[in-house]
Amino acid sequence: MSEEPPSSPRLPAFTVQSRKRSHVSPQSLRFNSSDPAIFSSDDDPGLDNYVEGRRKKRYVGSWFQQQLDSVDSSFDNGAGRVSTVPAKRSLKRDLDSGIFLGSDTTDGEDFIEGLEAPAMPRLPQIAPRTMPRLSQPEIVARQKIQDCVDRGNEMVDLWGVGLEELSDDIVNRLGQVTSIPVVAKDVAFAPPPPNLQVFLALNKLSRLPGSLCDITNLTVLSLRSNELTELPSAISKLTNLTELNLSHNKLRYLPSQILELVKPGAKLRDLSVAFNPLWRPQRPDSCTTDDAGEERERRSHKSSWVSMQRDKRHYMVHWLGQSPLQVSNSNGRILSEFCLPSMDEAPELLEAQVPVAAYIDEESGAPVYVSPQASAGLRKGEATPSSVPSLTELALRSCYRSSYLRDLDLLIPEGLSHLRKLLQRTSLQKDMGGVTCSTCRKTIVVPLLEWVEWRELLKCSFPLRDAEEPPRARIFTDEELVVPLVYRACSWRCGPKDKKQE
Amino acid sequence: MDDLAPPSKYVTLVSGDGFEFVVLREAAMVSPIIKGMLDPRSQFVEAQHARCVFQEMSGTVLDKVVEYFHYWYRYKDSEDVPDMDIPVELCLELLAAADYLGLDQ
Repeated sequence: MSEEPPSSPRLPAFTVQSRKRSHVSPQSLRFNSSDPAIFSSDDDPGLDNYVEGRRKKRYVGSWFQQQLDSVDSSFDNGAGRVSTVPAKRSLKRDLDSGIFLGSDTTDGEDFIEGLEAPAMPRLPQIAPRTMPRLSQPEIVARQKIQDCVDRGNEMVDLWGVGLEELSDDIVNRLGQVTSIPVVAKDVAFAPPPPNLQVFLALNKLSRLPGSLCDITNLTVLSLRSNELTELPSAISKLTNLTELNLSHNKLRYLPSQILELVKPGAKLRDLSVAFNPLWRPQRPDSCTTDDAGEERERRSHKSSWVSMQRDKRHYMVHWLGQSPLQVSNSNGRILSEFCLPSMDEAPELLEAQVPVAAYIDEESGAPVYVSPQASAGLRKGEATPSSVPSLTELALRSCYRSSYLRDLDLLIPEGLSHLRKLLQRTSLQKDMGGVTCSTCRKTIVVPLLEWVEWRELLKCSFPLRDAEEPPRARIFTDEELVVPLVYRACSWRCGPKDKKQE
Repeated sequence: MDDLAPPSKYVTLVSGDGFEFVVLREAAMVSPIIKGMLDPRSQFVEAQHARCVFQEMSGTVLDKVVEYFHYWYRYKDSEDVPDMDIPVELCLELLAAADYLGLDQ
């Protein structure tokens, strides 16, 4: 007994066992003196269990929920006492229980349910641009276009749908409309010639997307009674157009590229720009007023032409006059004294007048320049004529080529808001189909020069020779077909040509 | 004293990360800002040493700017001007640089 170490538990008091079997209560079975069963999996891998021979376990619990055994632990100093009483079990499934129940179906749904949604990303994110929702008119328009696609009907009738904007979706669907080729014996199976007719009259369109001008099989395009303020210059790509109706809009001018559509050999037969607040030339003092009687006579003369041969008529274009040049730098600041009437400043001002720098004299038919330096109304020393584009313009053209053009303005720091405006303008131009130089057809962002030329578009039924028809040089009539054309040029070299030399 | 000595034919432009570009003075004069900095009548340090330091511009951006100076100088009097290529990834930095240097004409 004395060899026993002092720390060992006291022996129970010796009692004489009776030979009779006593009643064994279940209570006493629980407190038996033998050690609990020890499994290898319950063992703590720590070295404590193996040095100095076998000692009492210091940890209890399974391997994933180990706790200090508080009874005989050297770490037990009272404060960090860990309760060994296990938490009450609840009837919930533990995801990591390690028990797999054989089942036929994958129970992936349960796992997905248990997973929490990821929290907000820590890095700052660019707020997503709100996606435009489909408006009611657009749904109607889509349905109508889909009907035409299904039936192979090339006449797309979108009269009075109430469209406010032509989305890319609508334009793409329009491009899908084709007629169904004839399938018959001895007839070559070929796609029929393009004959797409789109009627967008009586809508509320304020601008046209440039992508519309990529549907080159358009033959009839009616935009009557909309709210267009500008026509994309890419309209010259619609070379198959025979009818273009732009009347009852808010157009101040047409792009000079529209001359491509009325040049000899082009297919356009009907161009209507009536009832638009087109810019009117402000007559110089030297110009005599028109004689009303002569005017009427000429009108009747002209209408007789038109009635002669309706199907073969085409357009004759006469140069009538030209405004001074508007010179701007690449930031869009106007350097010249003359500037074109702004859209934003006076939207209610209908039929704004633009001064004239050159016009055709009525008697001689020769161009008259109001002032010798009318073409360059520059303030002194502000701009030097050079053909080299500015670095700002070059960088903007590079931005224009980027596919992230819409988001580029968000990257501009706060202090450079004028650059942000410039990028927004560039983005808007790209949506409209871009601006090209009237002379060299290069894509430009901010044109150096802008000017207006008035042209008279005369319908005539046969090719006129000069002898038969002297240039009906009559400046500034109230004709509906005197149209102001805006020219844009990338450099001084692409500026207006001298009419005397032509 | 400075007025008597003819200014050097070349100027040195230094980027923020230490790259130095030696440019024809006449070519660099396309920028009104540099022209003002290098005006020999002024008493600026830049004018006295013909050396401009642009802390805000990196070497790659200033490289393109210098390329533009020579592009402008080469073609300023010619009729047929080829396009100068600007990589898209540099476009915003060059836009800011061009704005800073007043290269908008």
